[in-house]
Amino acid sequence: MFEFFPPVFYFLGAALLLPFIPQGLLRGLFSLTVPVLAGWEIWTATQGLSAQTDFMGYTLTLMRVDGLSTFFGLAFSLAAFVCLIYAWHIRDTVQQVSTLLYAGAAIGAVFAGDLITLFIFWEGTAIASVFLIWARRTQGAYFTGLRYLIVQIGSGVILLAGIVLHVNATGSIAFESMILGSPASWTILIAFGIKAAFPFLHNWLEDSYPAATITGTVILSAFTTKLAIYALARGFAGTEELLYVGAAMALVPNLYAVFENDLRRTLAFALNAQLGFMVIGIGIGTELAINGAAAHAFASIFYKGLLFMGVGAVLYRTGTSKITELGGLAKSMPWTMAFTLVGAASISALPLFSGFTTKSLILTASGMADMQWIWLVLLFASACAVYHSGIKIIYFTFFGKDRGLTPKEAPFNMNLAMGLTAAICLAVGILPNQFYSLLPYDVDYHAYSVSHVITQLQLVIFVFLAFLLVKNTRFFPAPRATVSLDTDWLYRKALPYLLGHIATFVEHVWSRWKRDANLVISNAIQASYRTHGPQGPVARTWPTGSMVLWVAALLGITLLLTYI
Amino acid sequence: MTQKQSPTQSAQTPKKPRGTNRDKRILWITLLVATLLGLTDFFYTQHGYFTIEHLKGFYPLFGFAAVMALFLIAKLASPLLTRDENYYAPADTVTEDYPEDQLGRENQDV
Repeated sequence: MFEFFPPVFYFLGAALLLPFIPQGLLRGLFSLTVPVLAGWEIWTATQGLSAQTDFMGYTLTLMRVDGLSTFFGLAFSLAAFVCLIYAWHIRDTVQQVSTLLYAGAAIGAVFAGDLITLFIFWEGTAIASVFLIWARRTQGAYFTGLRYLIVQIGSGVILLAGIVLHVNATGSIAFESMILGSPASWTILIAFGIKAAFPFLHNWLEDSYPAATITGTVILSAFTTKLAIYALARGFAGTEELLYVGAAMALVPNLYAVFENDLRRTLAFALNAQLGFMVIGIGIGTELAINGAAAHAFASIFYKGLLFMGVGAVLYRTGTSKITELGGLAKSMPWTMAFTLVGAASISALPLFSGFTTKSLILTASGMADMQWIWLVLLFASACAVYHSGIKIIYFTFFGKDRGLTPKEAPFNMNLAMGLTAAICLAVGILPNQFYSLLPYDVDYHAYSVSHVITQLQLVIFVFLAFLLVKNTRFFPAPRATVSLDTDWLYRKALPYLLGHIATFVEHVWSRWKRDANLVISNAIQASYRTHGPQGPVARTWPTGSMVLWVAALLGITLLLTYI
Repeated sequence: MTQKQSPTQSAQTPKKPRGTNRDKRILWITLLVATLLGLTDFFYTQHGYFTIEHLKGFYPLFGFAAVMALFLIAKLASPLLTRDENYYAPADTVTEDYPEDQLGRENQDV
């Protein structure tokens, strides 16, 4: 039946077995072998393999092995591996199982060759991942998890609707490149757009990621959004609308990332802006641009994961991830700082770090396609990322105002995971040609040109200079102890407020109406009682005998009717 | 000139943070490196897809201006877009303490 055993089954099987393995070394090693096995199988798989099975009259393609799916499958396996090391100390079975299921579902979705399989794993990632939020076991996390689940399941239901429309129109369930225009393609694009955090569909990301557990946030940041990027690259490469969507994504979240007080939420906003880069790459749609989107997704999984790990380690030791409560940790957590710095340098696209060799693919693709305004947007967003993910995270956590905190260095497993992730970031930056050879398309591109190195260094140093000049002035938007209002305000505040008022209004109108109606009816009854009642003027002429007569008449009629 | 003034300043305001001198040193070093990097534009042939990329000092000025613009917009927009921390409470984790049993809070032995 299968030419190739779908790696998702390793994850599902391991998740079933995991609760029966004793906690500690054995369970940790057991779960670590899963991504290694899956990654090995993906690495050695030959292109063009598939695994098919019949299901309710359809032939499902559980595995489609090609350049794009292999690349994302490898990225996800590697991400699952470092995440599991980072979460080594966790003794919570719920989190351990959901991590495996979540990573497995994401890998399953990436290899899905048809839309039904995609839908199943698409929903799988939603359901498995919400437990990483609920595992925090607080009231706030419970509510946030509910909101997250509604949005994620909603994305799946919309996807299902799109699939039904698509199958109705074309008769095919194959997941191939689509042309935007039909209702089916729009519906599917919106479903993808929710998980890819398109503008106005994005707020679940900034809402939920900072509410997850320390390790949960790292795991969440790797899979869902990058799965959506994969799906967009597969289905909508070269769609012009994505250029505008991507541009808005690359710009707006930067603003929030500047004044947001929570480090993990700052990173969530930054993550959203980085997704904008990838969406633009997909919108450009050339082979270089798709390579760029895929490469940047890979780099982003690891440098963003690394930043979330660093901030998570700080939260683990100090109990807070708020800028207004942190500062001056450079001396007490030097390793954490060093690794986080690698992540910061990577997102800032400093030469020798991963962002330098991946982001530039998208910028070059926009240049080759002669899209100057897109290029300017990307450049602007790059400068912003240097500030909020490069400088802000590092400065306010490890330098800045000393709050007298002297936490211990992060636990060994966290440092090990951060070290590995930092090594991946550096490898992508130092060995770009080896990395490019893994990309879906063969493209000749050289990242290390004199111009590129110098201009990028200029950009970074001048952003840093601007920060240094401004940071002690009143002009500087220093984060304060606040929450940021995003579009989720519409359904968390405005809608309940509006509905509350509508409900009060309707209730008011109803009670008035009921009272008035009651009054009218009781008046009518009273009026007829007054006229027709025993004391009424109409009743005056009725003798008592008339009632007896009527009773006799009724009885007579009954008698007659019985005999007819 | 600034170096001459600094001792008197620190004498007048003894509570000034200790990092001030270090901050100044970092600022001067950054300024120096930035100037040198900015000047390299005159000494090599720039490559790029757009004409503005060939202007001398485009990247330095763009980076500087972009972040200044970002700061300005953020400063202006933050009163509008931020609220008190317990604005969404209790349906939010912002004001909640992270559960202590899931932390590994440890301090260094001083």
